[in-house]
Amino acid sequence: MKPAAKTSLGRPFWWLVAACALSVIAGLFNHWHPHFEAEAWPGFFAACGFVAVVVSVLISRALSTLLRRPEDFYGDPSDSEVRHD
Amino acid sequence: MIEWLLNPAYQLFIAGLIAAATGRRVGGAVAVLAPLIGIATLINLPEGFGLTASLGQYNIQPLRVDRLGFVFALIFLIATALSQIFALAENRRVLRGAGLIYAGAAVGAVLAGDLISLFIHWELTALASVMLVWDGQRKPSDAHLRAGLRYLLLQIISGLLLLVGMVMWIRSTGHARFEHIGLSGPGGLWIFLAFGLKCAFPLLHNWLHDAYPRASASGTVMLSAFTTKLAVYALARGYAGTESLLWIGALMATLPIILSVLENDLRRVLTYGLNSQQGFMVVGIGIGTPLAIDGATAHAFACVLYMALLFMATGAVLHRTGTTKVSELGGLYRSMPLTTAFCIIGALSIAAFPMFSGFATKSMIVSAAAYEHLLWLWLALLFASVGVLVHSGIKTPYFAFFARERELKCEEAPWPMLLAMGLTAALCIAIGVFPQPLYALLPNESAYKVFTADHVISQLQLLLFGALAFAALLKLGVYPRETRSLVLDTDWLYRRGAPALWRVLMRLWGVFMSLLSRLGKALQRGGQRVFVEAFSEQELGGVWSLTSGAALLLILLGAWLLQLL
Repeated sequence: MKPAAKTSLGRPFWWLVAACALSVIAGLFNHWHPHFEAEAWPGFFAACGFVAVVVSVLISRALSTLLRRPEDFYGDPSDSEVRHD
Repeated sequence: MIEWLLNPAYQLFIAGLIAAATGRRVGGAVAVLAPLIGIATLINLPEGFGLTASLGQYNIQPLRVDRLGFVFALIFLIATALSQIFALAENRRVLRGAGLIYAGAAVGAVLAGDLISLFIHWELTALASVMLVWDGQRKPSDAHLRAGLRYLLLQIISGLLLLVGMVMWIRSTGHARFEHIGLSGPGGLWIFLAFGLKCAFPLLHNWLHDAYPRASASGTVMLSAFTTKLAVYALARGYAGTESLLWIGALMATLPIILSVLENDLRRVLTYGLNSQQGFMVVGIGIGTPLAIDGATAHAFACVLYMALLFMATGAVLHRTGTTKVSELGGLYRSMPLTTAFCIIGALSIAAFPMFSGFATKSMIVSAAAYEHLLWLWLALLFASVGVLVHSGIKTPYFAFFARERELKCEEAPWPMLLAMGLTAALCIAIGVFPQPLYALLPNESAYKVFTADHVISQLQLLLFGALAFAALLKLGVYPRETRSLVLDTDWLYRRGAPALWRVLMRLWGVFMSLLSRLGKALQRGGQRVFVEAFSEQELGGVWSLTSGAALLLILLGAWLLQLL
C-alpha cells in the first residue's frame, strides 16, 4: 500500500506535545492507588496510549491489502447515490 | 383499558400512526411531543407498577417498571425526541411513522415484564427499523433493497432464536417472566444468541455496518439509538455475570477499531465505533458486579447520546454535501462551524475525555475490571479506549471538517438539525460534568467517584498520547491514505463466499450428474441387450418399459429389505 502524503499539522501539533508533557509531569506528582502494579509506573498510561495507536494502525495497514477493495466490489452503485432533500 | 395508555410504548405507536398520516406541521409536532409525553408518563409511574394480562395459561406483563427498565426507557424516549427534532429537516413521513413505531417497540421491549411481550416488541423493532434503512433512497435501487433484506433477515433470525429459546424456557419453568436466564438455563443458549445477534457480537455484527450507513441522515440517528442498546438491556437482565461475555466483549471492543482505520465512509467508521462501545457494555455485564452492571447501564445511556450526536453531525454533512466519504470531504469547518463544534463535542464524549459523558460512564466499567483484578481484560479496555479516541473520535471530525482545504462549499445545517445537535451536545456535557443525577438512576445505585486524580491523569495520558501518535503517524505519512474503497467484513461470507461456494457445489453436482447419466446410459445399453436376449418380449410395451419396470421393482425390493434392517 502506498503511504499517504506527509501532512503538516503546524502549530497545533506542538500544543499537543506540550499537553502530553504536562500530563506525564502531573502523573509524576500524583499519589497513585494502583490495582495493578503497572499503574504506578511513571508514564505507563502515556506509553499505553501511544503504543495502542501505533499498533492498531500498523495492523490495519498490514490488513489493508487483504481487506480493502474498490467501491464497486459488490457491484453496488447505490453506495455512491445519495439523496438530496 | 384506558390504563394501557400509560405504557409509553403504546403512546408512541399511536403517535407514529398519526404522524405518518399528517403533514409537516402537525406530524412534526406530534412526533416531537409524543416522546416528551412519554417521558412525563414514565417518570410519574410508581416503581414496581405493572400491567398484566393473561394469554392462554400464561400471565404476560406488557408493562413493568423497575430500575433497570426505567433507565433504558428514559434514554430511548430522550433519543426519540432528539432524533425527531433532527428529522424535521428532512420532513419524511417514513421517518416520523416508522421512527416512532420503532422507538415505541424498543421502549415496549425494555418495559416488558415477560418473554412473550419482549418477543413481540423485539420483532417489531426489526420490522419498523428496516423501513428506515429502505428509506435511505427515494427510489431504492435493487442493491439498496437487498441490503435492507439482509438486515431484516438477520433481525428476524434473532427473533426466531429468541422464540425457540423462549418456548424451551416457558415449557421448562412454567412461567414467562423475563428475569435472569443464564447460559445454563433452559433455552439459555438460544436466547443468548438472539441477544448477541442484536448486540452485534463478533462475527454476528455485520448487519450493523452493512445497513446503518445506508439509511437517510435522520434514519441512521434513529437506528443507532435503539436496537443495539435494547440488546444490552436484555443481556444485562438475562445474563449478568456470564463469564463468556468477558472475552466476547473484549473482542468486540478491540476488533472493530482495526477495520475503522481503513474505512472510507464516515458513517461506517462510526458504526465501528458504536460496535466497539457495545463491547465495553458487554464486558461490564460479563463482570456482573453491581458497579459493573451500573457501568454498563450508564454507558449505554451516554452512548445513545454521543452516538446520536456524531451521527447527527455526519448526517448534517450528508444532508448538505451529499456524501460522508473521507476521500471527498475536508475543510468544512468554514462552511459549517456549529456542526463542527457539535461533532467535536460528540468526539470528546466517545473518546471519554474528562468532563464529557463517556468519561463518567466508561470509567465505571474500566474500574470494575480493575477491582476484579482482571488484568488482560483491563489492558484490552485501555487499548479499545485509545483506539476509539483515534479512529472514531479524531478521524470523524478531522477528516470531515479539517484535513485539507477543498472546494467544498455549502450552507450550515438547517435549524432543526442544529437544535437537535445543540440539545444532544448539552446533555453530553451535562452528564460529563454532573454525573451524579445519572448515577442516582442506576439499578444498583453505585456510589462511584469519577473525578479522582488517578482517573483524570491516567485518562488524559492515554488520550493525549494516543492523539500524539495519530498526529505523528499523519506527519510521517504512515497513516493509511483515504481512498475510495470499501472494507471487507464478515458480510463477505454471505455476499460473496456463500454464493461462490454454492456455484462450486452446483458445478460439482453437475459433473456428478453427467457422470451418473453416462453410467446410466452405458448400463442401459448393456442391460437392454441382456434383457432382450433373455426375454425377447418386445410386444409388451417395449423393452425399455419392461427393463425399467424390473429395475424399479429391484430397487423397491432393495429399499424394503434395507428398512427391515
